[in-house]
Amino acid sequence: MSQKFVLKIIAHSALLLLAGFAGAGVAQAQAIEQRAAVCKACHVAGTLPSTSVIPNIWGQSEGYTYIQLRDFKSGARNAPEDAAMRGFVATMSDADMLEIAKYASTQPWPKVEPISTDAALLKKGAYATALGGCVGCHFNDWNGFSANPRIGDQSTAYLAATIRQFRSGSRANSPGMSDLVRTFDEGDIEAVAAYLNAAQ
Amino acid sequence: MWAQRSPTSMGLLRESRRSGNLVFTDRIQLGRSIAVCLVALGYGVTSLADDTATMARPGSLSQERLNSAAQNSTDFFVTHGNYAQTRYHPADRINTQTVKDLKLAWTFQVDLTESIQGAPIVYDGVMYLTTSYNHLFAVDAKTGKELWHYKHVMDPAVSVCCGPNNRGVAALGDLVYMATLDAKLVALSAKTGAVVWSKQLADPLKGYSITAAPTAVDGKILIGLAGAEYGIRGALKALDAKSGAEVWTFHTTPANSVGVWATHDATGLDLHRDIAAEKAALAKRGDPYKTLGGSIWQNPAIDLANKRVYFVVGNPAPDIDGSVRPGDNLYTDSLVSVDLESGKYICHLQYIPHDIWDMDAVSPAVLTPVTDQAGKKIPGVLHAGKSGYLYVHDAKDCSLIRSTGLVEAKNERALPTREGVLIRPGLNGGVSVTPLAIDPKLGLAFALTNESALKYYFFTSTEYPNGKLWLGGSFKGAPEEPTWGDIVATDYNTGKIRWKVKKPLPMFGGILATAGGLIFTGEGSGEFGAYDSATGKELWSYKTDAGVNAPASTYMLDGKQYVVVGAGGNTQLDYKRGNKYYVFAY
Repeated sequence: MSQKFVLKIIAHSALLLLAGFAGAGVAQAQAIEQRAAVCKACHVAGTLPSTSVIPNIWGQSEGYTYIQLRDFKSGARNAPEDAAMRGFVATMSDADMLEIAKYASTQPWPKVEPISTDAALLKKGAYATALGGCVGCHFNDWNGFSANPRIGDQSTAYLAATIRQFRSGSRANSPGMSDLVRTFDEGDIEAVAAYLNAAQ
Repeated sequence: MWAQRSPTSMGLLRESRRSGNLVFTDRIQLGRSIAVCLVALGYGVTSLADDTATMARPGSLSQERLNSAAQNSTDFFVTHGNYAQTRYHPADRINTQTVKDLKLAWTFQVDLTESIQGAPIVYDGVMYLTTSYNHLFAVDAKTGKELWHYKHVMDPAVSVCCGPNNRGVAALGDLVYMATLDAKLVALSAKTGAVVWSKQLADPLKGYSITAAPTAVDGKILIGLAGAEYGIRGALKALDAKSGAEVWTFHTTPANSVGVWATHDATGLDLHRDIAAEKAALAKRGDPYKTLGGSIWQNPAIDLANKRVYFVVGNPAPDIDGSVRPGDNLYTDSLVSVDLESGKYICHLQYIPHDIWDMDAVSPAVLTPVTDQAGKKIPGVLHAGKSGYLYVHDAKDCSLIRSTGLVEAKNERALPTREGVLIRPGLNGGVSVTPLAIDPKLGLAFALTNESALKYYFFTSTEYPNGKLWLGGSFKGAPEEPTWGDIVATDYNTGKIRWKVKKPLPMFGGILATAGGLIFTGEGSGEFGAYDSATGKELWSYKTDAGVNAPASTYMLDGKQYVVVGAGGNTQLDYKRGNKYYVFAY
């Protein structure tokens, strides 16, 4: 993600923050759909390009989304790319986070495209996820469960960027994930991201 | 216990495309849908039973009846057969002669296609079975007709490392008990499935979960906590069976977890510990017991006569990095015995002090008389570890009488490195959470093994991450190494292996042994087979539509003997998932 893009998100964030979370009392009174509209400004609810470094969150595991929001606020998740999200959650209460996470989990998972049709790449990705034991936490058809996210049918660029963040430690809110993906090489990362993206 | 995919199952890579959050079958009937709606509304359960006179109805399950489980050839009161957890059942109508005529009676389709690991309990013509995500069904044991269905509503954020598994229920009096992934114990009416009480035992946001079945005994419900992959402090808890009030808690990691600075494991292998560095770390960091792990994944065994409880404790946290948890890390990777009434410590034997391989103790302990080194018959305890050894203990003081290596080993206890070091067996076992069965007449213990290797890595230390995945290192499949599985029969009075049956896939599930001279076990391929207990000869098999990776149960009803087993596949080995229990009869 370029610095310019990050700055743009932060600017948007500030505006949306004022619009969406102008105070706990007001926030409580707003219908959840209206408040989630803030999220939809970046996390599009329509077709998501596979080149997006912003993930799909609609239909995502409730527990995972909640914990990420919590970690943005506490600073446990604090990579440079997370600056915008930290702005959004600053005034959110625990109940707000739970409510948003629950709402997001009930939304339909959007289309994410295009998906890779490179058979060799997909095979390599399948093999790397098998050796990596990813299914142990992300489960059948990569659906995830609760605190463990669904990683199938996610944006390729986001998946690859996330693996790199875990590897480098810049995303530090799951040291176990960091250790696990440190056994991947660069080629594995591209292949795993493409394979999971295509696992729809 | 951590789950790592075996490279053997590579051939089973899924290419399915998905459409919903969970894969529901098309069998969901209107009544079931209404039940689910009511669950969504917070009612938790609805009874689908009508009130016909022919309906199977559970009677009250007294302690007296539970005590008789080992001699009772009609029912299957507890998930591992009886309090000694022998998984040896006295029914013998199906035997080495008649098993050829064993036929499928019915199947029961559950509402999720995911890993099944529990063995049903059956009494008074009713079967209680569970699936992943804590769905519990009461089913007419003769016809397969559903009586009621409870779908647990989970807390919003639950962390489970090795599949959304559940290993079954316990019953006592008029209640059935199930422990949940969000670390609750739920007591339900055996007749209706209505929730009578529910008790939160630990915080799921800190990584606590429960996959074990509870054990009901003497007015208490015993249940162990899991979550060592997230830095929990493990415990075995006893709750009042009527109210859920806590009777006692035994922490699996005591406030002084340091131990004796053991340099070798229980089988004599060098642990390659840097004791000086550990002592320095202890002085600096203090005792690590508060986040030291020590999960319990299976039921404790109960010695009714002496009111003693025997159970095994899983790995220390973090799994691979010992530098942040100096000391022997008591009582991780151990057999432990406590007093049933008070929960007070009696004895322990640590298999692998300061484990940095996740070579922990997860298969349930079994109580049986064994021959000691002097040739005397004494009360004993059996356990098969992920380390790949069958351990035989003196029940009195937990001491080790003998051990037998069941699997091929390579680089045992080598230190993990940045480049990765190949170790065999890897952390899937050996013998995983899969229960043993024994045949006391033959003096044989039957184990299912996972013959595979993993590469172990250590990169850098991290501090306790507040309930997040905390492994302290990594592991990866080793495709260059052969993988397979065995059924292994070991004479526990001598330690000699009597027979082995080799299978193409690493074994995971469990074994049922019967007085008919048979053992029953399944495979990841979907095969479910009966074998001659004395020789291992396969006498019967049936091909199901998914991995048979659960232990079987058996019972008698109207003159016929039934055998029931779940075919739900397995998450951690990625064996084909399914959604059925298969029931065979002769």
